[in-house]
Amino acid sequence: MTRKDKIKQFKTTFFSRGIISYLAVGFIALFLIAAIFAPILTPYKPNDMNLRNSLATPSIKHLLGCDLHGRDVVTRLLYGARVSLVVSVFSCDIGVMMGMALGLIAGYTNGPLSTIIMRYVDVQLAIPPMLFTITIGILVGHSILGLIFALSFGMLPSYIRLMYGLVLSLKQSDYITALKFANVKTSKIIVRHLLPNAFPTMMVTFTMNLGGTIMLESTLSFLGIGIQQPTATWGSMVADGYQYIFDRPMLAFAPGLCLLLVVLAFNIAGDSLRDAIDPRLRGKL
Amino acid sequence: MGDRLLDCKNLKVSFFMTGSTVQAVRDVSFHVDRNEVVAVVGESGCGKSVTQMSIMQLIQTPPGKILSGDVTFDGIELLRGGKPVADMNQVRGNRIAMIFQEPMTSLNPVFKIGNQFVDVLRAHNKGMTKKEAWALGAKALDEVGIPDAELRMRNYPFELSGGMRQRVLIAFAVACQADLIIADEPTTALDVTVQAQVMELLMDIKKKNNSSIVIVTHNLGLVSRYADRIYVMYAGQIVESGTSEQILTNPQHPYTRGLLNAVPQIQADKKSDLVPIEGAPPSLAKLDDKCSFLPRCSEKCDRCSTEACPVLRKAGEDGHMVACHLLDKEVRNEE
Amino acid sequence: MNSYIKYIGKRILLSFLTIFAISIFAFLIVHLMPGDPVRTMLGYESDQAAVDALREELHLNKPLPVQYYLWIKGIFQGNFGRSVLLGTDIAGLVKEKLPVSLWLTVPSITLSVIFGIIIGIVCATHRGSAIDQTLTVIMTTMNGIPIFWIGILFIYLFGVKLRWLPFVGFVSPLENFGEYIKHALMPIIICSFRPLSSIARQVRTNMLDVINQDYIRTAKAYGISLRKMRYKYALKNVLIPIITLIALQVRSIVGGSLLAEQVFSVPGISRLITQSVLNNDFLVIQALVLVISFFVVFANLLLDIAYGIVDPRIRINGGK
Repeated sequence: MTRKDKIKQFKTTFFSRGIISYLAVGFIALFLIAAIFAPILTPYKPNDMNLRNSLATPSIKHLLGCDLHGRDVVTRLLYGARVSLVVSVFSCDIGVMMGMALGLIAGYTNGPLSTIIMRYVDVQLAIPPMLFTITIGILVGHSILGLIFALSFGMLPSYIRLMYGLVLSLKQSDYITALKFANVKTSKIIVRHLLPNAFPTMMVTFTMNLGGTIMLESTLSFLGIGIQQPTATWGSMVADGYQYIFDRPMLAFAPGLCLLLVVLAFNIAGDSLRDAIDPRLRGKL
Repeated sequence: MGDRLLDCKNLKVSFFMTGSTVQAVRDVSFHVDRNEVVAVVGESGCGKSVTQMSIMQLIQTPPGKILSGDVTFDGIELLRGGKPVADMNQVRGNRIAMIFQEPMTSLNPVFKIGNQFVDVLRAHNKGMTKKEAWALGAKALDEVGIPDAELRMRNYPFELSGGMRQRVLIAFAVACQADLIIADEPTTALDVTVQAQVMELLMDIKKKNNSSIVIVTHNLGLVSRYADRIYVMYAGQIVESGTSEQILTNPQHPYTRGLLNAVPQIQADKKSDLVPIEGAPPSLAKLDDKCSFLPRCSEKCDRCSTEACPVLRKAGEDGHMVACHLLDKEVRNEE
Repeated sequence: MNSYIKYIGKRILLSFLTIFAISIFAFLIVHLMPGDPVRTMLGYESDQAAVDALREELHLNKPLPVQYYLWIKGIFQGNFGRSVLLGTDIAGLVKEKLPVSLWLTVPSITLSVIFGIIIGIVCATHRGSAIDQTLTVIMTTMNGIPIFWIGILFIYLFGVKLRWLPFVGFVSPLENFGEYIKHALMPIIICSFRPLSSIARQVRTNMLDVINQDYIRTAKAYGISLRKMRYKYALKNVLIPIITLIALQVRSIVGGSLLAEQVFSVPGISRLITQSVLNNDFLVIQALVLVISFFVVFANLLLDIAYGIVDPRIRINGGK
């Protein structure tokens, strides 16, 4: 198969869910645009209070109205996307890199280090993930950086396990054995053969995890134990809006809907990516 | 000829994948008589298994689809014009039993061998009690040469070796007393030493139950001793058919000759090397109207590249048929 | 059978080790705090006498291993310490609030398992049909829906607009079963979203996978009826791996109940967590991490044992 055929095949499988696939890609694009260009897209600042606009109803100036402090809801949604994007991308990045490294060590070395890492994974997995993330969050403080750390720490075991499994199965494959017999350096085997083979699976998991991480970040913010006020996050916007559910249901409804659409879009994109890259992973990831 | 058990005419099966259509079986006709051992030989991917699976209507649909074909078994029409006409559950197991290539995975891992026997037997004999079925199963296990049959009945598949599992599958066929046993690569996954045992076992059963056997294999050497007639398949078509003797001593199609040359023979006096067939079988998704063996053929003539694919026609007595342009030349030369 | 006993023994031992490791983690929560944990707990304006008293109570002046020993010893005697915020005994708090959370999470997991399996089978057996597609879309949406948000929507719709169900508080089923159902229905449904959709999706995938297995082909080739094949031959193979997934859901339902209890103002253990986190009540968090993890590990142990009972490969080979 030529490169062109491969790209074509990738496209057909990726978009095999039809309209849903296109919608997912569309929403992700919108999300990225909102997050990156938030300051350009809105004339307001997310934290500018104007009590005259308190709980203002939707109008031309404020498309979705304003919250209790008279802050423009649309503006806060755009900036909320920013927080979600930064937090999820950074924590997933850190998580995937640390997880790959530790999984590689655990899988490739067969000593006490490997045992320690895998035992640690077992223990962390026994603690409910949300509880674990919250606890780490307390220890590192409620800043954005702290949250990123807590989130990436929380997702570490799944990446370690995945990488560990990949490395183990690759290690047993005949061609890696052949390389070892040919006295190829360990570092070369890892960099040239193990990592490229593990990469597609990790990519798929990464995409699938982005949605989940955005959700977790919002959940913590909703509970008030994630990013602190007044920073605009979708989770805390829902929590704020909840208090005015009788009069202004839109205040809680809008950020939640954004969250739902973005999380769904990432989940679907992750599924499609998995099908396009390696359909054998279906049911496993 | 009146003793025809299975008759399959003009079978066509395709698999519809995203972006391509694989023509797995392209107009295949064959038959099996009573008390006959028929071998279907060809490389992997030539459609030989798909042909047999289509007879049993076990093709995954989608992506597979039987496009056309008439299949009659012992007077019962199974397929007419590619459409199923009989209740296959009355035929499967009961009349036609199938043995598969993968003994390791062909038994349900979470049920005892005995319980699987009971279900198979009671599927066709509604009046049979569990106890009776169990006893029959144990007897069948004994017949296929499994020691401690009663004990094995209580085992799970993972407690048995591959050869043992294949015997269990054969015992299914024995217990059902099927008229026709289709064995799809029955020995491929097994050790060489076990292969011959399994073949002998199949022949025993054939004798005992007066049944017919279809053996699907890529190993011409293995079946040459057992088969009455042989069909050679290539790229979804039958390219040569005839009695074992005709095929083995007087092969007409270059592909058959190639297959024979590629069979290892232990003959100390001969310095015959193994001759491989160069190249690889064509993709069944990209076929033209020319002879599909053409790119690999060492004996091709001008007609091969200019004319359409040759049809199967008579090359000798007793149903020796070949699909090759060379046939004309040779016939002419003989004249 | 012998190797099954060995398998169970190994599981029990591992569970104990896990609990031990978690206890260390929980213990360290207070000690890994940046700054002075006692000051943080009591607030920076608190007087020196109170700080010293708490420090003494927590044995913070002794070496770490001794502190750990004293803490664990206390726990074995049913003494988890005292909540700084509420001033009450933590063991009493747990005893009061844990049943409330269990009355929400246990029914929720049970319903998820039952309906998840049914929906998964229906989807797989009607693959590609309108039913399958609709259910798949619903399941995907359920998996991506923010639980707190859908909780609020439920309250708005069923509580405020339609006035069908109460949306604040909790009534124990031992007191008044009817009221329990009314109060717990929405939280239970919301907690079920994630586990239900995960199980349904996994059952569907497994079923489709199993249907393609060689042994199903064998069953077909021997004329076994479609019904028997699906509900006997395939189902057992489909359901065995689901047990692992259920174990996973037991872990993640803690997250669900955290939100459900917050949104519906249910005075359960999860609400206590949120409250304690917001008020830096570390001793409570420490105790709750240990207690909740203990329950999760115990549930997982039971599932491991069940796994061995239904899967002959583990029962006979000990999972090798």
